[in-house]
Amino acid sequence: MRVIFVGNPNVGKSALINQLTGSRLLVANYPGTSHKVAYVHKGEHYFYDTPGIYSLHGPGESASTVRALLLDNAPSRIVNVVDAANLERNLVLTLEILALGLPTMVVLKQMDVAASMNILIDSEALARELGCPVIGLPDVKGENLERIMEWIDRPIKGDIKIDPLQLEKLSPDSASPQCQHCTQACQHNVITIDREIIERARHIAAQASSQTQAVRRGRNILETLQGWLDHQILGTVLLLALAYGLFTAMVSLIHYLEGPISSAVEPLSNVLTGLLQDLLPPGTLNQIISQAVPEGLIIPFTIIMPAMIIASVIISLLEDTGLLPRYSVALERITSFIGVSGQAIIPLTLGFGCRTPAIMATSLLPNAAERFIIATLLSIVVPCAASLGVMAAVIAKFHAYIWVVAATMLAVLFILGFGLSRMMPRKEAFVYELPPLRVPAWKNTWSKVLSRTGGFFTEVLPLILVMNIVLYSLIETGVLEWFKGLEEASQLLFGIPAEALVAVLITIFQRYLAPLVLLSLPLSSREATIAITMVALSLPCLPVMTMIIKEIGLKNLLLILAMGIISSFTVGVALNLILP
Amino acid sequence: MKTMKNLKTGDKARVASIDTGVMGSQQLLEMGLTPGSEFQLVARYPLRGPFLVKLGNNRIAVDYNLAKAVLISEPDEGLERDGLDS
Repeated sequence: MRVIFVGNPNVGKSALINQLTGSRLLVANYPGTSHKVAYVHKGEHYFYDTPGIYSLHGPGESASTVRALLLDNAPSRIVNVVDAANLERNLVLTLEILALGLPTMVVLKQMDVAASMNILIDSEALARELGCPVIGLPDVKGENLERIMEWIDRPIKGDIKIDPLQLEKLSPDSASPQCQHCTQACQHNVITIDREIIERARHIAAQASSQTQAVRRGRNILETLQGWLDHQILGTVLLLALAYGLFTAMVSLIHYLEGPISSAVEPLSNVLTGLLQDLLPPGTLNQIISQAVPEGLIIPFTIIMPAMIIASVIISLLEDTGLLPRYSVALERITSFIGVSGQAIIPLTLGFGCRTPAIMATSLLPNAAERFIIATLLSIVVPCAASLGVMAAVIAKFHAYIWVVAATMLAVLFILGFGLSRMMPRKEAFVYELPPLRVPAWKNTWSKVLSRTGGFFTEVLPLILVMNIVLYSLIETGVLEWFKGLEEASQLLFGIPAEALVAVLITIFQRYLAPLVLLSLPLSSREATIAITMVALSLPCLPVMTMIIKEIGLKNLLLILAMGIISSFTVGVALNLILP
Repeated sequence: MKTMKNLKTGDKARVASIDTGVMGSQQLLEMGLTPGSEFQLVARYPLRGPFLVKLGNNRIAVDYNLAKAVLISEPDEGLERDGLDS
């Protein structure tokens, strides 16, 4: 049987399906986390998770996705997930759904939050008014999740009646009527919300809920904090201070962890080197493998793993508390300068963890132009945790000028964003629902940290191991010697030795390799600064490229790659000219 | 007629109507900022930044240009402040 979960954005549809089925749909505290239809199969049921919508008849892509699902699949049942703390607004969608005539259950979520705001909801009265079963969550006895499953399992008596008139309203033809102001088809949005439904929702919400003002025991800590954060000046200052604090804490933690970790794994690597030397027949192969394998295993653990863990903890917390969307509002002026809506802050921040999910999250942006701009900036400029670890290691080893690297990256971000946005002018208006601050659900945050760091073992570690073997083979076989002829050109253009240029060329395609090829070279601070900046502003890794093809197509990926190569070389030449 | 743009932080107002010719107005209506609903202006971000509005228990950020399209009337109980800029 098909069970379709429908509700307003950020009410917790995915979280409810996870609770009911034990699935692991991505859950976060901001609207638009689920942007596509996903389904979970359990027993004989298919649970469909849908993107959040305010109205079935809305003009957006999400609403048409849900309409298509309802029309296409002739669903057996609908579970309408409703935010108890925002009953009136949520009931508009509920009434639209009930008009379809399909078996529907209303699940009231955030009953505890509503109670803390002294909103009391009489579920039975609401069920009477709506004429469908209503269940509240979380409940004290913990029985209600089972009651939802019982309702889903219960066989449907008689035929399912679908109101043909309502169904017709859902069809794509009728969803784009003309604007009242114009006689011909126009670009104006059209009011499709029924005034009558809004009035009925208001009436039913008033009947079924009551808010007591008297026993308000002052504001709790979260509300006070939210008051500060949602202030135009104080909030912006606090959010920027937090971002700076988290970033510096991350960088210094990575720095302090490196020593203890490498002294812990070094004995292991020595044993491994000895073992490989003894096992393999003496010769070139022995030399390559016995050096490349232990090194390829150790560098990821000392340089990349700490960065990945710390970044994923920070980002998961920002997501689940509701802090991340607050940056979208506070920094909207800055993002509008680079031609994108405030929501763009979310994928950009996610990129500091891993860029693959960040590219996926670009789908919460309102149009293709904005998605392309953000995908470009993510690919070329935003350093993921793994690259941050790599860059930090190179900067520390050669005492490279960290401020030059950081300033160059920021400059490229704004120049690239500004340039692209002039080519593709922005048309959207910024309208964004800010979720309330929440104490994170620790289990959810933890599972996100695990899934974010999982890529270390499946992608980073094997990749570095293989590439390190390839690299050592190149060194041993003398292929790199050939590049010595480039010395003059390299020094003239970029001010770095030919070996470093080769390193840069290799790492342009795979940033994690930067330490392997750069750390062994005798570079000055200036040379290291130029080399690492060129590496930092280059091309995305392979998994990111795959995701870009999936999300915005091969043609756009090729454009991004071209821009990446150009920006890397331009930055190299520019720094060579500017730096003393 | 006054619009959301004329409000100061902390002011309460009631939506009279929304100019549906302006981009994003449909989204505002969907989010519940419908004619007749009462809201409070929580914050106005500088440099023509967004307006943050509290509507029931929701917080909605509204584009500067869109805020100009939201026509308002005074709320029922005289909760508004004096000295609205014009």
